Amino acid sequence: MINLMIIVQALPARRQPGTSGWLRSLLIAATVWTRPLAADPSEQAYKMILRNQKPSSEVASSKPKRAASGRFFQAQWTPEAPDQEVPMRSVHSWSLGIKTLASKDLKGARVEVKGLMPQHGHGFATEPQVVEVHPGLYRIQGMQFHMPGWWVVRVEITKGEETETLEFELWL
Amino acid sequence: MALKTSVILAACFSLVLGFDQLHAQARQSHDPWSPRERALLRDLWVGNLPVLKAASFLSNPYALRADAAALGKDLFFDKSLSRDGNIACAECHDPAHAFAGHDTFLVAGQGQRKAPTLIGVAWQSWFFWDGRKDSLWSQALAPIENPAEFNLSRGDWVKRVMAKYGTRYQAIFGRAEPNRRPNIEEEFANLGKAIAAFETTLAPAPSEFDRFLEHQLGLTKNPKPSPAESPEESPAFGECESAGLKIFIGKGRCVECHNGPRFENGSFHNTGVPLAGDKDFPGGRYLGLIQAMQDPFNCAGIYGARAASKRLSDSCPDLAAAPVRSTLFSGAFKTPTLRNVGKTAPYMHGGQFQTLEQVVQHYAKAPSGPIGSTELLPIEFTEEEGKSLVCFLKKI
Repeated sequence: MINLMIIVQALPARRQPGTSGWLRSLLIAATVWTRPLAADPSEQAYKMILRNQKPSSEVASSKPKRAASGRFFQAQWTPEAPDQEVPMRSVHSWSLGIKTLASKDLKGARVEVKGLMPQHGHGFATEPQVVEVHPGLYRIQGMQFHMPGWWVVRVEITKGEETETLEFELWL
Repeated sequence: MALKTSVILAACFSLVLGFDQLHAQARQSHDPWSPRERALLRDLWVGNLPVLKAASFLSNPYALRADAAALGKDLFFDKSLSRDGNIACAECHDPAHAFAGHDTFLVAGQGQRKAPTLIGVAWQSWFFWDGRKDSLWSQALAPIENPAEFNLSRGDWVKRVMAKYGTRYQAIFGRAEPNRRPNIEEEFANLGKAIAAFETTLAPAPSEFDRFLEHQLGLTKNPKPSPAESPEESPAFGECESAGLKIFIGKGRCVECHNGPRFENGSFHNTGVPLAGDKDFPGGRYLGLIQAMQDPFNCAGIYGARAASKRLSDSCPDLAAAPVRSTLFSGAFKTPTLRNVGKTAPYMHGGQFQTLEQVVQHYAKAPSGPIGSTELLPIEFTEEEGKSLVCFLKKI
């Protein structure tokens, strides 16, 4: 209750007395309780770092590279769309094949996917989930490119002690 | 002699070919659009709206049925179904106002809200400005129980509807099994699905902007590239509009969110819009998504698309992928469609701006908003650029 009062008092006065019912107070409390509404300073710093990144010289003029390899793993993606092209705006899935550098299917890896728009300081408005559908074949659900421009899809792969991030650039 | 003729003919051919090349180059040099701009423009064309299929409405198998749409249309316009007999869906979604509201109304826990246009709503994934509904049919149910709108309980509303439209309901949704008590929740959901079936028929007509694009880029339903034609051939789309369009897809950065054939991106953004009066609570998508997840009438619910697949990501991909409690959504509201925007004032979620000029000024200034952090960066528009942008917006 004390916390609730502090929260309500901390909000600007113009949003307060005489206008809000208990429901509004509850909603305010629920929101503020779970996550600060003001932007976090570390988030701002991260945005600035992102904004200073630059796309590779060829990304705007050529088709996106769908395969990449790193120190431990190699991966290749295909959108699950009838024309196998990346759709704008709609929530869709990608198939992601992951192999070791010796071309063996990588089973049971932990895979996390993020989409970033570096020049905007943000990324996906969705939270992709990854499931392994066959040994070495992963399905990334919840991909959504909602803005045109430069995107970087960051795939973090972890298997045992080995972990690395492969990046794919797209110009949509 | 024969050799001489061949040489002359060859020279003529090269001359003709040379002229053709020169002509093509000249046409290219007069082309007002870069390849990138052309790609952005093509994406905005109304002809890109996908054909609606049953698979697009997994939680509403009645969405494309004509009988359901006919019943839905009657419900949409019927004022006798509200407590005081003075309100229908069409009051706030006025067909003469591109199915948008003229004014704002109070929503409990939200504040003043403006009813957006329904034209093209069948292609939308999230509903209400904060996206607290994940289907059109589920959205249609909420105003019934809002004290500032229909002001009825779902039970009372269903009784009223059944007394007047019961036979038609049963012809579409089936008769309840004998000895089984009517299930108010199920009937309530089905009636929402009928209203949604009607709203699904409200597709956007090609606008003056689309006609201009068709001229400029040679777009047709069966694409046959034709040479770029001069803007003079689309008299409704003059210099002011063309200049505005350039700004829209360029300097103004409007197209970053207002993209695709509906000029919206299916997402939510904090654009630092001021409070809509002292009752406004701009929790936006942050709270809206929490509410959508808990909604018994959502896609994953008993009346939703649960039966379509065991995997939520297949039956309800948008709901499954939505990131609950993302700070990105603090104070974020839905990107509205800009089709018919010249006819749908006032603007923004709470009707904060009366004119498109005020909207443009807001985006140019990019003030910090009342909550979270705005995604906008200030843009310097000259007076003429601002005017051009408004010229263009009125043609969408």
